[in-house]
Amino acid sequence: MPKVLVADDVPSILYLFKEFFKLKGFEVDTADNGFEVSKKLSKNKYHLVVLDIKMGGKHGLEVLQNLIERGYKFPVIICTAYEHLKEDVDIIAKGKLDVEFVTKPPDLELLWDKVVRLLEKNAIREEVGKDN
Amino acid sequence: MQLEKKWGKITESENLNELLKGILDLSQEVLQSEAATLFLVDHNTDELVFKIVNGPASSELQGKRIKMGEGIAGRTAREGKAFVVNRPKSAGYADKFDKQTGFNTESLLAAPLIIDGETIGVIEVINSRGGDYNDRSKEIIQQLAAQVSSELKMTLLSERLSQSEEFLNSIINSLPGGIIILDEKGIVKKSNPTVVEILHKRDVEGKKVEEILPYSDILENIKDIKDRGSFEAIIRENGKENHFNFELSRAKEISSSGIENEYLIIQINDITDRAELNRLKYLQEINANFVFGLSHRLRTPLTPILGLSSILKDQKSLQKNFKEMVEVIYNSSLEMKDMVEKLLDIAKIGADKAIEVNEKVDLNSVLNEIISDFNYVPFKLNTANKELFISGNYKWLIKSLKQLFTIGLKEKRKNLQVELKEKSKYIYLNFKGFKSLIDDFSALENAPILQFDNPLTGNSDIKYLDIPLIRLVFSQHNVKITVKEKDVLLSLKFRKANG
Repeated sequence: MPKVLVADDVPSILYLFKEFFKLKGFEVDTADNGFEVSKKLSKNKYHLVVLDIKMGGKHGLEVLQNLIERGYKFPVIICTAYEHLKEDVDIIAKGKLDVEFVTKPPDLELLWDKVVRLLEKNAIREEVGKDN
Repeated sequence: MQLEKKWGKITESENLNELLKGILDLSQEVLQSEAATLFLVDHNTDELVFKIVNGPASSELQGKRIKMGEGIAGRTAREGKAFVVNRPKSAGYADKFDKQTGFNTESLLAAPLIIDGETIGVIEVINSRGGDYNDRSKEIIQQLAAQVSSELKMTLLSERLSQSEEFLNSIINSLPGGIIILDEKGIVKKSNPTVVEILHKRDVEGKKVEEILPYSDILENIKDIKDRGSFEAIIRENGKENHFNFELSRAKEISSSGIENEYLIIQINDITDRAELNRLKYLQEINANFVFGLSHRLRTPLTPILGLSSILKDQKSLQKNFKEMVEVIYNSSLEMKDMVEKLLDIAKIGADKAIEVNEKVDLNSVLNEIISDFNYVPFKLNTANKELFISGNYKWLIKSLKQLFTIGLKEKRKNLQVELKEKSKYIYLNFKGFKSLIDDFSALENAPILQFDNPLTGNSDIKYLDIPLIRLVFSQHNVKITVKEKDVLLSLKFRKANG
């Protein structure tokens, strides 16, 4: 079962993603601040991370930067109300991590398309990695 | 008319030329002479000038010059003493002017005009009608010369004073804004006509400052400024608010008796229009920021409403009537989402209101707009090359960046390139990419340039400067500038030229 970590400081949004990913067959883990994200990432393995940007503790962009620095390769979906942050995300992650940017409130169908695309891409890469 | 009366009448004159002519006429009359000349010393050329000439050769001699020491007048000036010379030709004096004019000098009496130990001219009478000049004549001309010198001193001083007064008035009248000059007692010594226009007060000179500016806050501010400074104040009159800028400075005057007087110079400028414009801009910015912030905040609670209703509406197990309810919630939240997006668009329009991005913009007007905010920092604008140099610190940089990015923001997001050129202690930010905004792109290859202190030299620590609109991240080899303007983000990364 694929495992997703969802990070957002708004409980109702965490609840939404938790229910959504559960329905899609995911094992869901949640975090309501940036520090908790870092803590959970160091303990568990995830196939996908859904990250808000403006959170308490560590800023989402800082968390993203840490993921890259630590060499994590799993895909990330950034879900934020602030669409102007997309280019900041691109600058940080381009060529280093597979990241999709989604603005709140997301269209869940489109979100799911992005999830599938990211996971497929990641799976192919893992396969290629095994062959080599 | 008696001599004393005549003298009194002459000295009443305030005009220097009239005074000199009157004295010369009187000397000629008293000493019963055919002709008389008043010379003034030109210290620049070391010559004596025939200033006033009475007698038959008057027109030929007027304005002519002789060297100091030349002839009897020249000797009188050089040696600073009176001379009596009867029959000068036989005494060996040159008759240059007699030959030129046909006049025949038989006898001559001359005395120096001395002010504060310095010879400033010579008074000379020629050809005594009552026999030769004698010691008595010499005594008389010396007395007359002393009187002349004293009168001259007074007149010159008064003329100088009146000239400096006129000069001061012309300066005060030509200065922008209202000017009030106060003495140490706070009494208006001088003012210009603009004061009347600005403060609607007439005949201010001689009045106390409290009468001219009867506003306690302004008077307090004036009192608090010890040397020089400025403040802004609002004056309410007939229900209208007028904004004024007060610039204060001090000037000292040392009188001839050595007494030092200090004056306070107040320059008042009406800045009502500017203040109103700034207020409107500020309100517009607040309004845009509020709408912008609100639209983003609404997105957060909308996320679970829309998301959860979208999940529920597709649940096959849901009863029909509940499914209908969920669909109403879902559709309503979609409408709300649409409204939030529109709200955001309105905020963007508000923020970019002054800018029509697809319109061609004249660079000079853009630069001048920027400069208008920089009129109190050193700057150099070369309109021929369309270059702007601004010297300043980070504060200026941020301000100018904000201005630059506000203009045609969307276009710049696509096209703007920024280069970093490091030269000595300055960094030059070279903005390119105004192509779609400005007619003559070729002229913009190197403009505009913002020049500011180099954060890259001498410090290897990373410096963060994070403000709501622009984030600057400085490291030893890179500068990253992130400009956040509403929903547009522009990130620029610079590499140190040799890094």
